[in-house]
Amino acid sequence: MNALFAAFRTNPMLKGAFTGFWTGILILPFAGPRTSFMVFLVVLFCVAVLAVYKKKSFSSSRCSIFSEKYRYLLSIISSDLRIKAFLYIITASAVLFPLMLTSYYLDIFIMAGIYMLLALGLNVIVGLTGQLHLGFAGSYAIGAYTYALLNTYFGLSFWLCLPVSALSASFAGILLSMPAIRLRGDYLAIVTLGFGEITRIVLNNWDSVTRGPNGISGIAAPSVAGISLSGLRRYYYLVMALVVLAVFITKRVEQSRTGRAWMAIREDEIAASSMGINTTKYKIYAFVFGSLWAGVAGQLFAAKMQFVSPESFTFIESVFILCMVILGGLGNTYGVLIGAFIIAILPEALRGIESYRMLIVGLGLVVMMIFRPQGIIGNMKKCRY
Amino acid sequence: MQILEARGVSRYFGGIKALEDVTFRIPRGTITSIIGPNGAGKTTLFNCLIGITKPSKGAVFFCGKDITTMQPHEICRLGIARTFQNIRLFKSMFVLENVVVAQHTRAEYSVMHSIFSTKKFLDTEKSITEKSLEIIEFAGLHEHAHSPSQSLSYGSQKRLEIARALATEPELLLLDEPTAGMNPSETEDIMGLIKKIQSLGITIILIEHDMKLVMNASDFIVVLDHGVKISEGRPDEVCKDPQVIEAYLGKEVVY
Ligand SMILES: Nc1ncnc2c1ncn2[C@@H]1O[C@H](COP(=O)(O)OP(=O)(O)O)[C@@H](O)[C@H]1O
Ligand SMILES: [Mg+2]
Repeated sequence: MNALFAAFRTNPMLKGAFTGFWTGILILPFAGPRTSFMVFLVVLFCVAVLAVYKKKSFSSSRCSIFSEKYRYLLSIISSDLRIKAFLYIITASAVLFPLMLTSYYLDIFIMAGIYMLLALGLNVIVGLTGQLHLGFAGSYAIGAYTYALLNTYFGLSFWLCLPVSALSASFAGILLSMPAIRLRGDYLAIVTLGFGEITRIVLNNWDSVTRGPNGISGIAAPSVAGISLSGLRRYYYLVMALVVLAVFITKRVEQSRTGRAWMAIREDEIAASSMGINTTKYKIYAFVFGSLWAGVAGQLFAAKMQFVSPESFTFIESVFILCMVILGGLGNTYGVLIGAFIIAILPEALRGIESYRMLIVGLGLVVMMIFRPQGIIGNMKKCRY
Repeated sequence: MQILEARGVSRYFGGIKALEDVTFRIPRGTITSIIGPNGAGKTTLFNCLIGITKPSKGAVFFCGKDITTMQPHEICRLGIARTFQNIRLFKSMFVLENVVVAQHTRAEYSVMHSIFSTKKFLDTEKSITEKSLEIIEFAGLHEHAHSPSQSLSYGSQKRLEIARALATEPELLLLDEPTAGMNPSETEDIMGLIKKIQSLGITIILIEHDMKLVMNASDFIVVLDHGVKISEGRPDEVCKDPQVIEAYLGKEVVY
C-alpha cells in the first residue's frame, strides 16, 4: 500500500494522471464530459513533463549555471509577489465572471462567497488557534436570525443590522469560549457540537419569536442609496466585496502579534503561556474574531434567501465548513478560500449523479488526507522576515 | 539582595510528594544550579516557580512580590523566563518567528493598529524583528534565522529555546537541563553561552547533571532528593556534604 502512495508521489505519469483526473472532475460541471476529458489529458501531460523536467534539472550538473540563474529569478518573484499576482488574477476574474455567467452559476457563486466567509472565520479558530469547533453553523445561524428578526420585526436596514449580526455572533462566541477555554480535544469537540445543536434547537422551538420550523420569510434585500441589491449580479458583487474585506482584515490580524499568539497556542500552549501569552484571552479572541465572520455570512445568507429556517443550520453544515478548512489547509487563509470554493461548487457539479454526491465529496476528502494532508496549497508559507 | 525566594514550597501529586518544604533564596546576578537524581522534583520546582503548576503549600516571591498564585504569562511579564527539559519549540514556525513570538509582551499595539497597518505597528514590528535577529546572533544561530525550526539539529534547537526565552527580556532565566544529550564540545559551547547571558546581568537557575559544568559554573548549588532539599551552598561546600555523597552513592546501593 505504502509503495503505491510513494509511486503516486514520485512517478510522474501517476502524479499527472491523478492531478489531471482531479482537475477534470472539477471542470466537469462547467465544460461537459468532452472538454473535461481534454483537460484531463492536457494536465496529465503537463504535470508529467514538469515532473520529469524537475527531476532532471536537480540531478544533472551540466545545466547548473542556467538553473542557478533561473532559481535566482524565481526567488525574486517568489513568495509574496507570486501570491500577489495570483490574487490579482483571481480578483480580476471574480470581477469579470458575473458578466458572463448565467443566473444559475451566479447563485452558486454567491453561496461560494458566503462559504468563503464562513471558512475564513472557522480557519481562525481551528486552523490558526487549533481549537476544534464542530458547531460553527450555530454562529452562522445567529447572524442569519439576528438580521431576519431585526428586519422583519423592526424594519431595520441591512447596513444597520450588519454590525449587529456580526457582534451578536461574536457575543455567542464569547459565551461558547467560556467553557471551551477549559477544554481540549474531544471534550472541546463535544461542547462546540453542543453549541451548534442547542442554537438550532432553540431556533426550532422558540415558536413565538422565531416561528419555529416554519422559518421567517419576507426578509428585505439590501439596497445602496435607494438602489436595491436584490439582483443576483449586484448581490454577487456585494458578497465578493465583503469577502475581500474579510480576507484583508484577517490577513492583517494574522500577521500581527495577535496572529502569532494564536499560532503559538496551536503549537504548544504551555510554551506559549511561558512566553507571556495570555492563552485564555487569545483563545477567547479567536472565538470572537472567527464568529464575527460567521455572523456576517449569516446575514448575507438571510438577505439572499429572504427566508431563514433552522433547517439550514444543521450539524452537517458545520461539518461542511470544517471540510473546507481542512481541504484548503489548516491555517492557510488563501487555501481555505479555495477549499470553500471547491466544496461549495462540488455538490452542484455532481448534481447529475445526485445520489452519489456525498460519497464523492467524502472520497475526495479521504484521497486528500492521504496525498496532501497539508491541504491544496499546503506548504506555500515562506518566512516573512 | 535576592531576586527570588521560595518559602516552604511543597507540591503533591496524589500520594507522591514531588516537593516537600523546599526553601531557598537566589541572589541577583548569580548562577545557581539545582542538582539531584532523576525524579527528585527539579522540573516540578521550575513549574512551581513560573506558575505552570501551583504549589500545594508554601509561597514564591520574585523581587519581594508574592507570585505564588499568578498565571504563567503574568510571571513572564514580571521577568522570569524558562526553557524546557523536553524541547517545546513552536514547531511549524521559522527560527526567527519563534523568537519574535516571545517578544509578545514587549511589543504592544492593539488589533486596530495592525488592521490599518499604522506607523506604530510597522515601527514595532521592525524593531522586534531587528531585536530578534540580534538575539539569534547572540545565541549563535544567525545562519539558521530563516530556516524552519524543525530543521535544526538537537543542539541548535536547545539554543533556540534559550534564545526564545531571552527574547522575553527576563531578569531571571530558568534552564532545565540545557546540555542534556550533548557531546562535550557542544556542552562547552552552551556553557559559554550561559556565561555570556550572566554577563548581561541576568540571574540564572540551572538544572544540570554534568557535574564538571555545575562545579565550574555555579555560584551556588541546591541539592534536591526525593523532593526534599538536602543541601545547599557553594560548590566546594556541597561536594563535601556527607548527605549529598550519600544521596548520589546511595542510589547505587538501592538499585
Ligand atoms: N503532573 C504530574 N503528575 C503526577 N506526578 C508527577 C507530575 N509531574 C511530576 N510528577 C512526579 O514528581 C516527581 C518529580 O518529577 P520531576 O520534577 O520531573 O523530577 P526531575 O525533574 O528532578 O527529574 C516524579 O516522581 C514524577 O513522577
Ligand atoms: Mg526534570
